[in-house]
Amino acid sequence: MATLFTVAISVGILFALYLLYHGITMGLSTSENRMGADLLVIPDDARDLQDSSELLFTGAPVCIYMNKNYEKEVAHISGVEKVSAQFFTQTLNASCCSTATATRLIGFDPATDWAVQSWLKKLPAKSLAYNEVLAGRNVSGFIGSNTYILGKKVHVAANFEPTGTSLDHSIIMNIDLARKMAQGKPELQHFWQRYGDPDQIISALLVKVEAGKKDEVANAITDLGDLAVIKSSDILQGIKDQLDTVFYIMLGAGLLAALASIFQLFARFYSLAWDRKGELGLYRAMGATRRDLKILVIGEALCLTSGGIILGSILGSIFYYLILLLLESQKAFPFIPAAWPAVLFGIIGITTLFELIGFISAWFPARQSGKIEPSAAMALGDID
Amino acid sequence: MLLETQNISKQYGEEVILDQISLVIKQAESLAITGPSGSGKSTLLSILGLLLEPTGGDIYLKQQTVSNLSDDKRSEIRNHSFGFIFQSTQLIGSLTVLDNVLVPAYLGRKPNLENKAIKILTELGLQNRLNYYPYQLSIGQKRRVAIARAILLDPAIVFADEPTNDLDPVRAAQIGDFLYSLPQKGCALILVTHDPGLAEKADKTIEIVNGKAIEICRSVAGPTKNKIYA
Repeated sequence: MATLFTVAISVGILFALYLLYHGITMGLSTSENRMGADLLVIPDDARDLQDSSELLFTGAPVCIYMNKNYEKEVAHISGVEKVSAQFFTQTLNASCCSTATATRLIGFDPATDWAVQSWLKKLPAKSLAYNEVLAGRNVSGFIGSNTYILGKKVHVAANFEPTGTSLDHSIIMNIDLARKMAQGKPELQHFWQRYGDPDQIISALLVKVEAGKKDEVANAITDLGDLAVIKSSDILQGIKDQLDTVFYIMLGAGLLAALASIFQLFARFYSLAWDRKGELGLYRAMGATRRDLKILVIGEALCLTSGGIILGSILGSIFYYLILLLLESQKAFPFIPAAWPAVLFGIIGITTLFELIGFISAWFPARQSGKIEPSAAMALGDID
Repeated sequence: MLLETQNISKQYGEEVILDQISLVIKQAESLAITGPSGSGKSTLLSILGLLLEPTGGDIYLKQQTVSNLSDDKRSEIRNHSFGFIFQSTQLIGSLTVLDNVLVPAYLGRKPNLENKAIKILTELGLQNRLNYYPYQLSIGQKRRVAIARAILLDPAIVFADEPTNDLDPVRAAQIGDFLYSLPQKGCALILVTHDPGLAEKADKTIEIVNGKAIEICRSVAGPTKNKIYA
């Protein structure tokens, strides 16, 4: 049993590590491609309200606002290729909305946007009608294609593919619709009293810059006034660096556990040649060949390893969810769960690795067992 | 002749255990091997059962030499033609009575022998113990399971090492009677025993003394030792 659990724990750690690493790698690479903007400009006072990575990778509502004139000012900065404004608001409660929890609503400007347009091209209509929305992969609570948001009935045009970013947890719509929805809600009035009429404010600016001018443009934007600039690539790199440390620790633990499995399997089957000398001798006396004993020992090792792999896969899935929950509670990061083919690939890879470990560990003990003479059966007592 | 040995010897280093022993066992014949402890009885049984290789001499099974056979071929003979009852029964603790009896069938890749195993166990009075484990059995019951295992594949020869050891006289007699019923079914029996009562029922009895085999000849006046094989 000890051997079985050692194998299971090793498999579990490596399987969980594989799933997490795959999910984060996919998340980072997809979000890098999908984020679309080199710079994200937000009001300077929002810097303290929101962790940048939370803003970028979670669907937590962020009601941050600034004057919409900043869009024109940023567009005039040298080195800026494109600018597009977004307006953020949020769902409130079950009485107004179909979503199960407070969800970020993102209004985009169809006239200037390039980030959302890539999804819109995949729609049959190639565009989003005024009363239509796009829902992120992880937005829950929508039943059917029609839904209520802030008291207005809208049509869900599509759920878009996972991006690993805040878009997965958000609902996207025309910026005018978002403003109109938010404008009349009594629960949101304190924002308009503080920041002004929703038609005159925006929440963020997506900025695409010319190659090599990111820092220069960022500095120029900061000089405009009360603005903060988030460099998406820096955020992603920072997350990658932090998670790499976690992965190295986990990989170390996984490799140590795998090493322990090898020793445990080797010790188990090496001692088997001695502990079960009577039993193996008995088999020899009753007609087992040396080859039969080798097959028996290696077969037992492979069966034991297979049992450990099955148990380890279940343990690994549990480890995976627990570690993911823990990581997400500590830090927002882009994550795309592995699809079934990738999970299957991981299982096949880990199975092959551990069956190989089982085979190698049992090879020498199997050879030793093959040397047991049938006369060993004569000298021993009952076989437990 | 079923089994014949010619001048077989066994030495461990300088120590001579068996010294040029020649024996002949016919089909359906019984042979008892006696002798003091450490005289080499079990060694002789092991050599006859192809469990141990002699240092010198030849062994013939049905007039065919087995001395030069490969290890695999000897294994095949042990499985197909021999049955073994070991002194301490050697049952496998993790297997039930029925599975213990079926071990030779598994090793010989002979499927569908469950019914036969159950029939033999029933003959031996163990029909209610099929799913018991060895630790749940008395020593007498374990011996009977070992006998069932030895005869499952209808061997030509059954080798028994002290088969009545540790048994009370009644149980020993029952086991003895069952074993001596085997030659009546065409199976030769070679047993090692300290029990004179058990040995005297055999067709032939030999005593190992100083590595030599002495045949015990019986007469109305009692047993006499008058012939040395070698």
